[in-house]
Amino acid sequence: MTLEQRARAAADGIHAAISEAELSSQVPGTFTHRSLAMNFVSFGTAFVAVAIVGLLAVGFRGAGTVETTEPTVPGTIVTGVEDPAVLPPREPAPAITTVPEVAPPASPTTTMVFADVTPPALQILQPLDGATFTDRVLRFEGTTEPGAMVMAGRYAAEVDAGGRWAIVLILSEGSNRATFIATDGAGNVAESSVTVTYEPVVEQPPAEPPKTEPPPKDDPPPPEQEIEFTAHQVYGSCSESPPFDEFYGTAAPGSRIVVFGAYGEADAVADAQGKWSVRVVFAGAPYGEAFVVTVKNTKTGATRMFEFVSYAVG
Amino acid sequence: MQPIPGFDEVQSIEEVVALPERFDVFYRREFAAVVGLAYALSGSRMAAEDLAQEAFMAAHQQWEKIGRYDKPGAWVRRVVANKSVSLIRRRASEARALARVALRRREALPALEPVDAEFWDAVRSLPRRQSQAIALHYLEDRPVAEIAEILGCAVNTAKVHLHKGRANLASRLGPEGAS
Repeated sequence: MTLEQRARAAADGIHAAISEAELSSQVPGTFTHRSLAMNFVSFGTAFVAVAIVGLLAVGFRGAGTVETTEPTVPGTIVTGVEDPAVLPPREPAPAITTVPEVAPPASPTTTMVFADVTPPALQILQPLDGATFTDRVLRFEGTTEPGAMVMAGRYAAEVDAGGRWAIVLILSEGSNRATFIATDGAGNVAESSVTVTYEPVVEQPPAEPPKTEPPPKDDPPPPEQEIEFTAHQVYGSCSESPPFDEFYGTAAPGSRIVVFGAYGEADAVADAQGKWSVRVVFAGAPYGEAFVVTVKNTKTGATRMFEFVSYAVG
Repeated sequence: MQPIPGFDEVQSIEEVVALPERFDVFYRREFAAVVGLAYALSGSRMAAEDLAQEAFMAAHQQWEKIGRYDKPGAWVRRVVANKSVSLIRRRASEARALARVALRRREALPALEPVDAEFWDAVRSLPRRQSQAIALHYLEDRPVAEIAEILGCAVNTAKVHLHKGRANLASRLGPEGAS
């Protein structure tokens, strides 16, 4: 039997077991759900079994120990009883005690486990709120709790092991509000939004040439063409400390060009020939983690994006 | 001088607004499959249903948001996959399940055939991500892209987990499992 066949057979075994079992048809949230009933109606009887399993789980190191990750309010302590024979009454109060900020007396027989009810951190690093773009395609970046999932509506962002996330979205013309939702493994949710504006560059129709007398043959050549905005990256990575990169390109003379990323920014002005160049230092950029560097022509709003990775040590 | 990658993965903000599915419909459709996943990954007949219930409870509490996801089932599976491989959580769920049995509210899931149980034991002995990828692939016939979505990783990463998981399984199960 191949591994594939064996795996399929084992999967069928699980499916058969599920089919055979009478699973709960009670939808959570209706307050007759068994887990709630367990906690608030039958807690007393439940403790008998909970205590037994607690004993087994800790190898009889602590009688009556209870470990739980049931969602609880921060500061809520769930404890067992010293003697399983001494059962609390069937109300939640004796079993669930809220002790805000005051630690209970240490006891070798009690284990307290706090559920994770803290929403994951969620920060949008780029773009900045209120920014305007002439490109319809925009990359959003940020940070969250490692292991958390970040969604923009139905779309999942790529999240690396360190919690840095990124997603590329297409903007609608005008104002766009992008809402991101981070969900950690415990189901806690955090939400953050950013509003950006997409204003496409409207191409001007070519102006009609003025009706003038044809220039004499000795005149200078016709008006120069408008200089196109271009941007180029020299390195893309750097192992020197502090790490840096250089960018250059063309733009209309006098245009201010801003180059910015998560770890540094610089600007330049296009000269009379329309050429510009700038060196940007990315002090503090994390080793080996690529991030986006945006080059923006502040005159037209046009942007170009690149990636940079620092391999600087120290 | 390379433009940033990822522009072939463009998506539209225009499409992100969608009405959530009704939670009870979602629950009834997905619950059994999620219990199966919890059973495979936890190996606990007692705790599997509770692990699934905890995940659905979490989804219910935030259904206004989670229900708008394209695949809320992926979200629930991710939660249950993470919960199932945690020993502490499994013990707590087993404790509650045992208590429930004491109350004769619900029986545990039936035991698997020994040969199947041995297979899933081997799956659970794999590194966490490999075991999750293997379970999703074989138990739910999920393509790699969906496994990646559920695990929250890149498609290529999910492929690696699957590949290594299969290789490790083959070596752990021996010739009869391998070929």
